[in-house]
Amino acid sequence: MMENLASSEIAKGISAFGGAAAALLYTPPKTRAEAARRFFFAWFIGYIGSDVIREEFLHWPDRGQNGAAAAALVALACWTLWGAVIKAVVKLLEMWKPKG
Amino acid sequence: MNGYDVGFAIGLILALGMTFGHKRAWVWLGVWAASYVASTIYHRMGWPSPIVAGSALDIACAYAIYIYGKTRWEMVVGRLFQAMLGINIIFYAATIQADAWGLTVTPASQAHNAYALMLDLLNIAVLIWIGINGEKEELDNCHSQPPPSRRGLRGAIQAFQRQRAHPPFWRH
Repeated sequence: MMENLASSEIAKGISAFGGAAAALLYTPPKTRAEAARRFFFAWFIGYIGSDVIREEFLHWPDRGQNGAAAAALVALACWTLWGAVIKAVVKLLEMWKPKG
Repeated sequence: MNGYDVGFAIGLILALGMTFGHKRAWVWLGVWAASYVASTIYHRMGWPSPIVAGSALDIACAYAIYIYGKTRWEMVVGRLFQAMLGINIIFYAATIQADAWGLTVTPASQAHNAYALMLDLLNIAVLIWIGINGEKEELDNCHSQPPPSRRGLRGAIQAFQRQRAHPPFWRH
């Protein structure tokens, strides 16, 4: 039981890593710092949040490979989301910037 | 080997012939061939999760091009590998979702055939794209002077011979 749990957690961690790595290819970062921040954010949310997304939204059965696939998908989505959030914040700040 | 494999082998030989003497094109053709052979063997051996294995190979190929690619046409090859990766991800998620809804995607189903067809088309696109651009670069290397800029299709191909727009992020 404990071994299964540990192996599924490791699979989730590796899958989230793979999802973040795949996302990096689609929208490459500009700098190392951005890469590190986005990668950690995508991996962490992919690892932590995949079970909630899988159970509540996707309704995928509770199997090891489904958990791993959900982790990769969530990490992929989070990488993209991070970029969108940063862009939105920058736009918002530019709106408030004094003109002149 | 089935008919598809023979077709791809002929396509590979043609592309190698078109790009004779152009090392970069040969390297990427080699990478593509290694990826195709490895994923095909994995699939035919009946080992678990062939889509995941195929995705891992696509990621590896796309990373190799992202790291070592120098020109714009090589970046397009990378995008083609990314498209294959995207199709693998979508199909894998779709099979799990179908399973959750009590449906099964069999290898004979239309969804699976469409998935295989899209991957085959992208593989053909990789061969054609490397063949066209590698041949062009080989011709340009024969001239000591830079070739005059052209319009139309040849001009469009020429544009892809330029250096890539963005280097890998760690070289900024």
